[in-house]
Amino acid sequence: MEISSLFFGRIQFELTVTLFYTFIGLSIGLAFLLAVGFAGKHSNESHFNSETFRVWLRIFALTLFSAFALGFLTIVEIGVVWPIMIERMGNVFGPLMFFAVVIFVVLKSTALDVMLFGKQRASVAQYKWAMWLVLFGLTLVAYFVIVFDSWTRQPAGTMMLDGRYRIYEWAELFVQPAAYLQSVEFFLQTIYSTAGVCLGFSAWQSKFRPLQDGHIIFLKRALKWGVLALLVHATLMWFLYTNNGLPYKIEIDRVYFLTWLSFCITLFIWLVAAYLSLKLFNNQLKPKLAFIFGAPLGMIIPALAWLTNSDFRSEFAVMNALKAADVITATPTTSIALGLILLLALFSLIIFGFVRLSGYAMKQGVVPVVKSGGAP
Amino acid sequence: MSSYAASLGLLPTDPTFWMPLLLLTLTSIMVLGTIIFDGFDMGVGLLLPFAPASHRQALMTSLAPWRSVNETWVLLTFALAIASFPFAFGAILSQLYLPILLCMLGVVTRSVSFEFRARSAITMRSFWLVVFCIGAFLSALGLGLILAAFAAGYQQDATNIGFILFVALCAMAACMLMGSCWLLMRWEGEMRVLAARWASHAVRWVAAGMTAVSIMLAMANPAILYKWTHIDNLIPAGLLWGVMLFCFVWLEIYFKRVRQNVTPHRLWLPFVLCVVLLALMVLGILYSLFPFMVLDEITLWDATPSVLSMQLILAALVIVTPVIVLRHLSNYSLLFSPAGARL
Repeated sequence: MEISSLFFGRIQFELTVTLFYTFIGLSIGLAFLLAVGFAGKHSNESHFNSETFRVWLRIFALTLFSAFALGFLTIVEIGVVWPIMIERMGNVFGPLMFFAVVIFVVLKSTALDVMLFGKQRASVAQYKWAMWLVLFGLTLVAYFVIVFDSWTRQPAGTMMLDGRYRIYEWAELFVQPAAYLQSVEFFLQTIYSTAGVCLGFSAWQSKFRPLQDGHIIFLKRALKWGVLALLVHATLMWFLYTNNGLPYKIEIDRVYFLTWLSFCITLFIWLVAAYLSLKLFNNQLKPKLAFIFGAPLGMIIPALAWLTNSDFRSEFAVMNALKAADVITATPTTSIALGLILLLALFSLIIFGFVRLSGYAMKQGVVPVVKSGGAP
Repeated sequence: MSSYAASLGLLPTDPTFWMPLLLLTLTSIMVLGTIIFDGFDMGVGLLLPFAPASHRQALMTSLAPWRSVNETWVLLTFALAIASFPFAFGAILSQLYLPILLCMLGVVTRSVSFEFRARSAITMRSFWLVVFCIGAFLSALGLGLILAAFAAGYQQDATNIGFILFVALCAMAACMLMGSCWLLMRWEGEMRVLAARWASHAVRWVAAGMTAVSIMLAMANPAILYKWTHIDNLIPAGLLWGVMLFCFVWLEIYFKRVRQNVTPHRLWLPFVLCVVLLALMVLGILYSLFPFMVLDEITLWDATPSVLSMQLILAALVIVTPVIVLRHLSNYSLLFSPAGARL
């Protein structure tokens, strides 16, 4: 009975977090590529009115709405699947989670609103600022999530007292080296996995209509950033894996490293091949069908990274201190299984909506947002 | 308050004493905000299947100016509640796995379907509208189940199943009432009459539901019964029930007049009275429970995290509240504007 609860609970939690990790990564990656591609010094109003910008902004919006929904579900899942974990580590989890939520809400009320809906009302300079702020804000949200995840691997700045973690040094919690490192890794991963998604979507569009000049420039830039991020990440991972002179040690499973490496090598080949194709075939992606595969590849890599990364410590909720089996909910297994079925239905809906609407935007162009006009 | 502080061996000025109180006040305000603003949103979703097919898309679109801010209430409330009272929510969430999951799945389904619908081709809009309705149903059902479980002292056995289902239906009616009052304010002609008809059905269910929850709360918990019937509290309790009765009767008469095509005045008043009713309900529950978060088990002060953690939560709130309040005010300032359906 307990094993079944743990099994179903773990599946639904890991699935939710994996999807959240994938979509928030994609949002940050797209925010980054949009910012470096369109919010530079020389960008002007015509760039923001271009079809390319509108399409990628639409995909960014769809990604972010999915990430928002999945992030909210992740918080709920922590509460309902691991309620005892909240009792044990409420002092740490509460403020970190609240910071992430509050930053997101502020972002949603300010810069994100300008970026998604305020193009006509904001000046070019304001709009560029909003784009950079969105990138900064989303990264900060991810940072707080990573700090918590990192803390569960290396519980720094806290001590266990009466069965509960208590913080004695907040600064130590925030600046733990593992959190920095995970953040850098995460950020790099978002860039190259998003480059893969951009490639896949562009190849899909080119099947139905030619890529515009602006789109090709954007894609080339995304490919360059993707390759660069991949190389930097590979180098970093190599240093980590060999523990070459780092002042701290992070446990990395060999399986994780090799699986990740094989996928990253495939993506690297895809990105380089796409860049060469654009150079050699007069800005055309050939063969289109193969390059479409870049999109699922870009989405699988972060999901796989999270799953394999979290799998090696699956026995523990807090590394070597708190076992997952001790903090699982006491809810009957049938209820948890039912919850899993409902969640699977919702995840299918989100993925269906995301793929369908993104594909539609690429194929047919952007549908204007229905924002007003209530009465028939 | 001084006696509570003294019973805990604390001074009223001690942060360990007043910070939990402040957090409880803020969480309660957030809960009320969620019920009101997410409530009318949910209500419109629940009413969509009953609306004429030709009006459904326009009804859903008319929510657009408020959706973005409405959906932040529930996120902030849930985050604030868990962050502020982690040691109570551990116990509460264990008991309410399915109701909370249903409610939150509904919230997410509504959020996603609304945004996806706004960006989809015309042919797909009906699909997302149906998904939005399902989301509204799940949220309202979850909310009702949470309220019922809470009123019954988390006893979810077969003897309570009738009560639980009844409260779940009444919670849906409460959302529908909010949605109808909002539609009444913003639409004219046929839709206004229809909204009044829905509202007049819903208001009776809400009255019955509030009474049932109050009776169950009192019957299941002698301490609460004692609190409400104690001689010192009879006047405020009577006043509270009097105000609620007045609101229900007034709403019933008002909706009847609208249904008879009498040109109504002060179209915002039914919505405001619903807010009053819901505020009284939240206040009543708070008063019944205080100072406990989980009745007879975990007090407010046992439920909160360390002072350092509370300071961080409050610091975050102080920084962001002005931004959020300004944003919400700018959006909600349009809420009571007449003929706003043409926004």
